[in-house]
Amino acid sequence: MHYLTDPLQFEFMRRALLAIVLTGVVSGVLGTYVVLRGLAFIGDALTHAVFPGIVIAVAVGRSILLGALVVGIATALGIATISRNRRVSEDTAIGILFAAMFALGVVLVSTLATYQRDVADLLFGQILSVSRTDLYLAAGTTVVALTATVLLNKEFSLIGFDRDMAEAMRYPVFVLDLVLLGLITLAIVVSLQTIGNILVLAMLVTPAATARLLTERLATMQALSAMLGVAAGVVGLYISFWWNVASGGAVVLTSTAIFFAVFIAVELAPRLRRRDHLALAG
Amino acid sequence: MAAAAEIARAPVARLRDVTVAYGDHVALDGVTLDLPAGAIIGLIGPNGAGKTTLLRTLLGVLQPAAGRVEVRGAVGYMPQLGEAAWGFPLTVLDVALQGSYRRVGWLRRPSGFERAAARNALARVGMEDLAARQIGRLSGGQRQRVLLARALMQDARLLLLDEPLSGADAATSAAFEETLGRLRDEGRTVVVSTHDLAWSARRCDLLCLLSGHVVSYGPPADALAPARLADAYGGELIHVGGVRILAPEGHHAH
Repeated sequence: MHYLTDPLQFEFMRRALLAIVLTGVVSGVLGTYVVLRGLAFIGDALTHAVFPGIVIAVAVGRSILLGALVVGIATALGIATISRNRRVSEDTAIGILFAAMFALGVVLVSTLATYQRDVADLLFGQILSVSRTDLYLAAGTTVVALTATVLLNKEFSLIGFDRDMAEAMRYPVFVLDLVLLGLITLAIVVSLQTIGNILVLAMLVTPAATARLLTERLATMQALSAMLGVAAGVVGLYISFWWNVASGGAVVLTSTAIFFAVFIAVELAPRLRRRDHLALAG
Repeated sequence: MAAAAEIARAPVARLRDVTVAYGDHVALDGVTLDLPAGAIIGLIGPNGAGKTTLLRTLLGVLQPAAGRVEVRGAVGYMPQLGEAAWGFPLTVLDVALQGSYRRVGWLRRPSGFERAAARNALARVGMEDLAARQIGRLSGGQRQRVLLARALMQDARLLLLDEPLSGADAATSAAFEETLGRLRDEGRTVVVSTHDLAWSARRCDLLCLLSGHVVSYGPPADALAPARLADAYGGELIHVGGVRILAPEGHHAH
């Protein structure tokens, strides 16, 4: 049992575990909409777009969560606004803005040579240095994001299933899209410190995609996705502790392994059942 | 009593000189229509005639560039099949319930009462046995019936159905016909856009023949007079029952 309990003697591991649980829950729930609405590209864009916000926050010594949040929501607004023009598709708007924002981050980093180490931590995640304040901010953000998602779940699911109908029912579809992108940004921000900027997308996509393989109900998918995110996070963190590898990478690879295990099981199960039937019939 | 009868007869929707444009392209030009209560109104015309544009204008999704649109009460809607994300993890019952969302309001979930109403709406179109099934596992005709049940759940005085019968199977057509009759008996107005002239002539009280503008509007025999048809369709293939025929060249007055 000491494999499970030993790491918990350390304050940084207890904090890291709490942080990864928050990451798993909020990314898992919002990830369902990323997967169901095909928002992986926009999610990736948002994760990169928050980079300059982080750099600025580090430079001025403010909370990186706050910096990422402000810039992420501004980018979501920019993407939604530009893609309203019929000659600029959403993909194009995303491509323009996310590259520009990341470039801005790179330029800022190059002028702030002393901060390069901190910024590298953010790109790859630095879960072992989660502070008490970080934890409170992450918890608060998670509560806000989950509450808003639960309260708007029926509208989000209607727009995702049948946008034409949502418009016909006079829902403010554009505003609701923005709110969803804002909530996805919150999930990204919570995950930044634990998983790192570059790998955050995996937490938004992989657990939700795994959950979709297992259920045909939205609420079940959201709950399962959160659980799978937490499971991958906790297992990945232990692997990171005992084998001394980067936490973000360990968590994402664990999540990917779960996905493939479920994928193979779901693909094989019907074939095995059919073979049993044939064997019985024979 | 006289006042009540007057209200019942008053149109549920009124359009006056309505012009709708997409950029420079005028999709509807100077449309004036009264939609009376308790009537089934067929919306016919060639592709690009402005049928969907007219429906979206009545819904308030499109704002006219000129003219006035007045609609009394809520408007129900059944979109064309094929535009939804059928892989979404929603059951047949979930989709029917969507029709109640506006009534349920923001931040609330549908109550047991709404769920019972949704089951009832599904029963009316013969889909109650499949209420728990994922929506994408249904056939095209079954999906159409669920979308019709969802429109019924909106409990509107005016229902707009966009191509509800294109590709429908026999069971779906039967459920649809029965539902139409019942809606008219309840005093509701149903606007049905369709390519099927024979069906619309047989089943609709009024027909509106569109071709960017109103070519004719009235009882089927008047609205489908040969000269009118030629004006709207001149030289094009039209659908009569399952059969396509070539409309004669008309004298285009516009």
